[in-house]
Amino acid sequence: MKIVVCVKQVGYIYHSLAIDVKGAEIDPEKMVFMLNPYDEIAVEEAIRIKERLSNCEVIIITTGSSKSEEALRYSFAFGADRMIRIEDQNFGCWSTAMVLAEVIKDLDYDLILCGKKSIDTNGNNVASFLAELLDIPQVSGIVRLETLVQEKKAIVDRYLGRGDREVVECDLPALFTVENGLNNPRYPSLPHRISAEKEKIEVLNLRSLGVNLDQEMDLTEFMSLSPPRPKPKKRFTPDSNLSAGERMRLIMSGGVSEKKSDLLEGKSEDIADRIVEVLIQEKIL
Amino acid sequence: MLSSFDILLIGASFIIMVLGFIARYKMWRQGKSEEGIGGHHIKRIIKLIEYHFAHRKILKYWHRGISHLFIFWGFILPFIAVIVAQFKPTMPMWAARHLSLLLDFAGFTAIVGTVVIIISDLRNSKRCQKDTFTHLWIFLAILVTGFLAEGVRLTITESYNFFSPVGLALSFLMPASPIFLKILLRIHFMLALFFLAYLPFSSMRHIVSATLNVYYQKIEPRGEIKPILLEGDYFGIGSVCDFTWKQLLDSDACVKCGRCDDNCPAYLAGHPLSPQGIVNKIAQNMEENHAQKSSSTCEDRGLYNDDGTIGGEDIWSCTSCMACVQNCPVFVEHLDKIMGMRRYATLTESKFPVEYKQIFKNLEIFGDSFGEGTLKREDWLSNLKVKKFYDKKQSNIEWLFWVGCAGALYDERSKRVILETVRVLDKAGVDFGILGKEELCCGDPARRMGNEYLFQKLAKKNIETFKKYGVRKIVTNCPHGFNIFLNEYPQFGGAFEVVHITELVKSLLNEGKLKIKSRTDSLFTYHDPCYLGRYNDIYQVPREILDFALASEIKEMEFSKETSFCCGAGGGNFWRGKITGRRIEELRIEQALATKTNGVITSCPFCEIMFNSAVKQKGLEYSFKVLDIMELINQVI
Repeated sequence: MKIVVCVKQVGYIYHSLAIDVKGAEIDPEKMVFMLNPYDEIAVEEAIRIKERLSNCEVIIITTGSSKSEEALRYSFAFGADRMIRIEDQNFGCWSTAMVLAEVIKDLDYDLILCGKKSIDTNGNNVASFLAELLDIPQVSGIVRLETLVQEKKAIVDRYLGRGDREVVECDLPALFTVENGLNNPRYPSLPHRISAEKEKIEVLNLRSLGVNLDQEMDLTEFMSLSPPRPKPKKRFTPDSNLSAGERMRLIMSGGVSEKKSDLLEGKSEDIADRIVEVLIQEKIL
Repeated sequence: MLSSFDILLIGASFIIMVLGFIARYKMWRQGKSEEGIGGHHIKRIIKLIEYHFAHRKILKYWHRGISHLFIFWGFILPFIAVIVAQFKPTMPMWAARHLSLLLDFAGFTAIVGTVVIIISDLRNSKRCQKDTFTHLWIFLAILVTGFLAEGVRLTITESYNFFSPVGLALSFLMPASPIFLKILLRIHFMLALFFLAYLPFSSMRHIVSATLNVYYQKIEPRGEIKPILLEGDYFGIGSVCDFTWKQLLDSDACVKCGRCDDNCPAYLAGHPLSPQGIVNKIAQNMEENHAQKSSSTCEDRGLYNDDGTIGGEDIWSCTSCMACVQNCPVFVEHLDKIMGMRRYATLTESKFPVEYKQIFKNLEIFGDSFGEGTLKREDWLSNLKVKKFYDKKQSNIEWLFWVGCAGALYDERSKRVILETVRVLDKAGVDFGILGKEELCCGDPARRMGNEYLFQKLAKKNIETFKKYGVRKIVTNCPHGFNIFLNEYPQFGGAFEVVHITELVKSLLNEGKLKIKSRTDSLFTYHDPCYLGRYNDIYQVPREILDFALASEIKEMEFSKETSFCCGAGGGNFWRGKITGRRIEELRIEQALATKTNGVITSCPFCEIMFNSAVKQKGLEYSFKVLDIMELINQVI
């Protein structure tokens, strides 16, 4: 089995940022760079599959400058086999997917794992474009992954929010984007870190790939940027039926009240009757 | 007079003893070589006299200490005298008489000492060690038969030798029977031979191993951890063979007196750590490994495993407070073993408490354990004007004031302590600057959590920064930074003049640059931070400052100075959430409350944070103050 994991080094933007000397841009010297946390989960999942199967290869691939090799080597230290870096020339979403597809299509892959999104641009585009360009199925936001090697199939749980899961069976090769909660990434041990530092990175660029981006117009365009609409703050109004002390307690605690619940005890027939009573009382029945 | 058969017996028991010790020696040599242990012979001999012959540390537990001193000299003196007597040396009468008096005294006190230790062992079943216990009884029997024989001899010769008072007293009770004398002497002789031959096979081997251990004690600064080379695929201590021979000798020198456990905050708080247990398990592992070993290589890496002898939780419960090392009478170094095993767990196996993963990532990505980033390191300044080293207009600033992560980033209280420190330094007219956003974590948490890789990365970066800005003198508010700059940065070529803020303030007070306006009336107790006190022997300096600042003397807690109790934050435990047993800081606050004072003063930001949380937990935040020493100084100047 061959697994390709696409990773990205992101600048951590939820943080104090320094302005450069001209006062015009964010100072890259003071920027904090890290491996995109979602990609870390994807790498971890690939390594876990590799550890389960006897014959499995994990290839890590990124686009970026030589700075991004730090994140590449960090993810390699999880236990991957190959790493590829494509020299970045200010790619947009579509062109990134284009060059990735150009490299990946020759890799004879069975599975592609990507992070749900990168935490700097929060675009959530490249993975879908990549799946489209490679003409393979894509399932987004998975929280469980089961591979059936013989049948060339995978069964995944897709996160739908509020605790809902969608179980999807999917033919391989396929592309999955991973969601928080799929696994808990490891902290790579030092021997792995050291071997990752020594490992050779295959560096590709547009010329060696034979892609001409001028012809391939970037299909995506950056339109505008706006701050998110502030969420309306919920004002807490205590129930006037409550006692004054209870209301004070609720206000002090920010309105978090314990859920009202009752534990029914007794014989099962009695409990069933009581449940019906409660349901009628709550006007559900 | 000795017959040839006797000489044969002596030879046999001597050979058994020597072979036994050679076997132990081979066990110790399973370990790797220890670098930098050679030399310093004069210094070592002085230490040997101080701690071995004069029992300086053993005497801290006074009744067992004095008993041990009696047994020690009651063993050595008669032993030498008996050997020398075989060669029939000639000496003047007065010398022989005084010698006889001395031997009688030594023997008698040894009996007293042995009886005291046997009784106290019987009363405290935890301390009762079977293998040493047998030896004690044998030793007592040797002494008693010796005196009885002397008594019988005096009865037979009918000489009233007042220079053997014990023998003389016994002679009134003894029959004048030469056969009885002979029997007693035979028993005495045989027991003594058995005692010698049996030495290497029980904890009594500490007669040799502890002597060697006291001789080869650590000469370097106590708080220093030795660096490891970050090459290859194996780091730290994962099996017996990864210890150095000195560390294995350590484990063999332990006589299970339990003083480390008695002073270990983690042990007393019910955490799964017993320093003595760790050392004993290493010794047990060493013996087993030696017995199994067929070739000279050490194959099994069995020290740290899930079902193995030393599990995970015990080494992570250690707060690295060094109370065990400080209180060990035979200089066993528990801490470097624990740190070595932590290094193996963290670096080689990547197994550590769950909380630490985020800390390691924070340290690597943001350069501080809280994940705040270097740019927030100047937030505490707000409008305050402080010189900064990276400011090109400033040059030749005398002191670097190292703010530290806790002071710069943790919470408002810690930041306030730093602000007050700055005010004190300003008032004294000290020429100082900060590194601000050029500062990184000093690396102490990483190193104490076993992540040598991160530590070396941070330390090298910091040393580079220091050299870039021409830093010569460093003053720190945090004892952890102080210890690591003073003792551990020189390992990477970063030797600077390092002082703790209390030392600087003390010299400022002495020079009159700081003047006390009014002393505080409140009654306080002082908590010695481990990294200042035990690690670097700074006990008096903060107390002298407090003498300046307080109207009344401080009241010492039950555990203070060398036996000071940890606050529970050291060794990475600051970042741990769930622990078994009680919280150490609460125990310490209870000790502070027992002094019936108005508050506790400390000089470490981590201690202060821990105590504040413990005081709040107890609901005492308005009645019991937790103060940093600099807050107090700022109030009184």
